[in-house]
Amino acid sequence: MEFYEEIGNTAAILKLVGRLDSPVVKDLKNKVNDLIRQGQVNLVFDMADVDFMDSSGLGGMVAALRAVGQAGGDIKVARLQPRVRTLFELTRLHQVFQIFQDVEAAAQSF
Amino acid sequence: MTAALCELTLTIPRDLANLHLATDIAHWICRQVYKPSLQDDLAYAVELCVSEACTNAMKHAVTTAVEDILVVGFAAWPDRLVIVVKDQGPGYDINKVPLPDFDHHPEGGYGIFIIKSMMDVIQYYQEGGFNHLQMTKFLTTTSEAAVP
Repeated sequence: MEFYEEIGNTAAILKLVGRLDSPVVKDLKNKVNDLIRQGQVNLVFDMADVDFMDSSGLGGMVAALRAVGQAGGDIKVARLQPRVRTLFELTRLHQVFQIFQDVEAAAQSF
Repeated sequence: MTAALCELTLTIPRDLANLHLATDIAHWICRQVYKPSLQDDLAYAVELCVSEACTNAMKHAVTTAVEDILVVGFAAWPDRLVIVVKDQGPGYDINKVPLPDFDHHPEGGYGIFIIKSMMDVIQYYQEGGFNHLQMTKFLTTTSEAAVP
């Protein structure tokens, strides 16, 4: 998985590219912790290029949400692929993360 | 008697670094053995369940066996795909695995729930020193789906 970050006025946009599963969960947690150390606690995960995710990936996102939450921030999710969104709905995590159609709306929601 | 389209057995060290070997084979069977006839959602479900089953075994099936391995078998039939994940861990009662904690959403505990939700038949048993998690998905191809 690759990560691309962009610091905006209201949030940091973290674009995730590739598969989000167990072998890369630690990378995601490290990336989010790096952003928190930089003072970036309001994050938008741009998931348009995440073509596969399993429950380990979901668990990593929950861990990331808890980490930014403890720092006073939040994570908004944008541009989920339909099959990944189905996984969010099956595990009811769509009730935990706010999900947006586009990155701009997610960033402006903070 | 109808023959299997493809049968494959993958034997790998029980290490998460090898997870994608199993999921890549699942993906390859869905895309190359069944070709475009298999619905995308169904192919995703198969790859997802292979990922869940193998991740569980790679994380939790700790063993003292000399060879700490995981065996993943695939049998692709015209009407169904059967996948069995074999490990040498202590095993568990699949009927007693609790539902995920949907109120508190912990980081883990969703895998078996996802498998049960997406696969059509789940069997769990011990045989030959291995736990077997056998998952069957009955297939609907796009061509069949198009028949009125």
